[in-house]
Amino acid sequence: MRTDYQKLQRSLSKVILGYVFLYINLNIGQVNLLPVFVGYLLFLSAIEGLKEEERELSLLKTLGVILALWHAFIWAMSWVSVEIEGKWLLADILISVMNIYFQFQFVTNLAAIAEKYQTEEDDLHGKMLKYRTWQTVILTVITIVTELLPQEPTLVGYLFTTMAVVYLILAFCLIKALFDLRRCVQEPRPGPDETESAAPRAHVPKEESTAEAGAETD
Amino acid sequence: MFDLWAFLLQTLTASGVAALLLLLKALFQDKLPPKWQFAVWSVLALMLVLPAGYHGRYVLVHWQVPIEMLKAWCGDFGFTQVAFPLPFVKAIPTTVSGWLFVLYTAGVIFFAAKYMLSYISLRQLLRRGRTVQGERLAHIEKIADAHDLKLCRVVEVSDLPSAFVCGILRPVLVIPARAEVNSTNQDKVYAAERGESTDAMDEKVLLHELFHLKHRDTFWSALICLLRCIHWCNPLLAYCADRALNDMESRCDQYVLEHLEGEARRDYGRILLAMANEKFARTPGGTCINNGGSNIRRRIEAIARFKKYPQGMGLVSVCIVIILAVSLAVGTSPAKAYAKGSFTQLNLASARSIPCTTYAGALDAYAKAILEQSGVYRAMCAPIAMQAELLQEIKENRHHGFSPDWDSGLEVPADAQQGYCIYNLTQSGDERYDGLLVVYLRYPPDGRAAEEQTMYLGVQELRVQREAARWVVIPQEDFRYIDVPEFDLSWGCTELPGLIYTGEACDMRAQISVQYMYEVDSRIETDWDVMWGAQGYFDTTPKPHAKFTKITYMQNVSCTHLGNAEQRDAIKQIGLSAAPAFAGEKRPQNLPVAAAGYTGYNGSDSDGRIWYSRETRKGWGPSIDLGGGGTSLSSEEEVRIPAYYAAELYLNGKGAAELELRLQEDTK
Repeated sequence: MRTDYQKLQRSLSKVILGYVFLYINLNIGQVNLLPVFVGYLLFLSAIEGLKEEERELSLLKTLGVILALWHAFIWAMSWVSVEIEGKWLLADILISVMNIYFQFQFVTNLAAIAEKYQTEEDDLHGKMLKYRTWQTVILTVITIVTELLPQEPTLVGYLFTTMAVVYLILAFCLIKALFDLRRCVQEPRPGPDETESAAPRAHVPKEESTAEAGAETD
Repeated sequence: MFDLWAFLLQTLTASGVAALLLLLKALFQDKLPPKWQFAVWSVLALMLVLPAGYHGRYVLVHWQVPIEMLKAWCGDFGFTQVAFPLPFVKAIPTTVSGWLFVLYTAGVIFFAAKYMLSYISLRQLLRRGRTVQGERLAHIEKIADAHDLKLCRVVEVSDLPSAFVCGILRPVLVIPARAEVNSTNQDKVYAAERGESTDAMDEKVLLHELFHLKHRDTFWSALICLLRCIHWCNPLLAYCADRALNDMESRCDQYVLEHLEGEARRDYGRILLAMANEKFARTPGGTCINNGGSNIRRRIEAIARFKKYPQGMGLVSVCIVIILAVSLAVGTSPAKAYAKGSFTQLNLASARSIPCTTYAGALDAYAKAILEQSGVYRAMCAPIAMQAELLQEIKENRHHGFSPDWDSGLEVPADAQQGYCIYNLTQSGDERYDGLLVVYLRYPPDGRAAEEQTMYLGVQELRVQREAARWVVIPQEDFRYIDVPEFDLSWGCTELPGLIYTGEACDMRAQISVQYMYEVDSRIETDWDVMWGAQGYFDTTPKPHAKFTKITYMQNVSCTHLGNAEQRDAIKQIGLSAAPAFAGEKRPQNLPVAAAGYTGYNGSDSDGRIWYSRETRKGWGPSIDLGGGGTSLSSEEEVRIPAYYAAELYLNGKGAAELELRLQEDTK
């Protein structure tokens, strides 16, 4: 099956934009101008485009829809100055757990795609897995600290700020890695036998390269 | 668990957690590995071991409220508390709920005995077997070595449907005497077609059991059975126990499948399908690959879903379990009692379900009950003996449409926005304190017109003491009313009582009155607003776990001349310097000089030392106030009541006597 590079690039752009919505808050009063639910909707749309590359991404659809609906609800409530987060333990637990799993699996799958398309000098796959691991650990620590020390707002505040800064740095690293991945996913330029250009063929997915090589041998 | 209510609270709390876990497992069935599917049950085990309702906290559902309603209906107003997760009958019951608890405890003993008998019969079965040696043992050792697994003693028993591991401390691998028992005829045909021996299929079963051995699953199996016994009458938890045992098997299936390839995996599924005998499926301290026909289907489905999970999946699995365990163990502290509405039973049950865990919290709840004239708030800190009467009073008042629905004993309404203050809180016994509640009144109590720069106070002596796991407040008198000049009560009030220290020398009685003022911070600052800026108000919602956030003490010095008027006229200046001395300490030295002409001869410091002097006027006395001063303390731990005051008396600018001011016992 031929790879639709444009579709892949579009999907990766959506993922990048989704992370911008997820990580950056731009508030007027209590209303976030970059609502998180839009980020999840972009992820869901990206999953549709990437599922042929990574079948397991389809498993995230249900969680993505639930997370998008929940964050849309929170965002809608923020318009009437009603704060939802922290009100219901059940919802908080479910959302925390789903969010951690979603982020973990999503980046794992993106890393798997990166492994196929990365050039030899880039280690996008390894980098993304590293960011994923740290992201998971930090999300867990933030959740636990918030649960354990509600009576210590100052301490939680300091910890939260420190973790948030590290989390943001990771987020920027991840977004940069995604930009690099999008750069790697390019239609292979015609080879030297077809044109005069000596464009590198390293961007061709590994499986396709193998298939082509096999065909040539036959 | 000493009563039925404690058991209900424990089992219902665990049921909420069980429902959440089942929901999460359904959500993550195809996403997280069987290791997680089993490990997540540890969260439920933790909740079953932790006493429910600790510090009035609840998990997911505030079960305390319906339980308190049910209890009140049975005439029981005691606080529901789970001290220990096992049942224990303390006395011969006298109530229906007491007998039901005995019945439940009998059930626990019955099921424990049933499991114990099952375990004993299993051990007896082992006695019939013989230790495996020779070629067969070598074959099993080879399997264990090939997968880097440890092996225990192996026993073979005839007429056994399948292999299992038995024993917690010294586990034994038990295998059927005939190796081909685990293979169906069809399996044998398949194996023969591929040129394998039927022992090859036994290898998978043995591998499965060796993984049980590695992960000490006999211990988990025994723990699950124990918890199942304790909650034998809860079908949801019984179902979860079955699921947990099944997940334990699925986890080992996963380990086995990770070590197998291609056709061997399908063979493993066939082995499971061939098993329907569940003779030892639920034996505590044992594991059996065959855990019942109905569960095999679920395991086959899990095998069909088998995949090697990506590296790092262990991390996210652990993170999810930690988040669940911490969030659920910490639980939620109820925000406030449902004081609104007309459902009295619900209102009071809600109040009783929120225990005051500190004496400051109990005093705060009582004071706010007075400020708001709220019987619901009063129920939070009322002793058990008062609860029935309180319920009756509120019900009747609500029935007749009276407002407020509870008589606080205050003749005029208190000014809620001014807050309250607790004076002179002193320990009067083991886990018992006495103090004076002071509230501001909106207007004079006896119909007089309000005067300028005068405050009207309502004061009441209170006792706060521990009753089971909570603190309760018992008023010691009816409210008294006092008019005082307008000022901040948190800095003392000479019209209110204090601890009095006195001493005499040179016909002069020196007196120091000490007042301690305690407050719980209830002021809330609103966000800054364009129209009004930041606003503050006093929050009248009780804080049952509060600590005192502001403690101040004030010392007022006065002297009374005991001689005649002629002698008194000769005294033109009086001064007194004093320093607190605590029990077991030596008399403080180097007291400041309290005489005119010395720099800073009036004042006090943060060590509690005071020095005041004053010129007299003609015809003064016999008493004269010299002045006062105080300071704030950062915590209750800093509050120390002096045993006495070491003092120096100055008359007419000269040191006249050294004296000790002793505490008047009746002012304690």
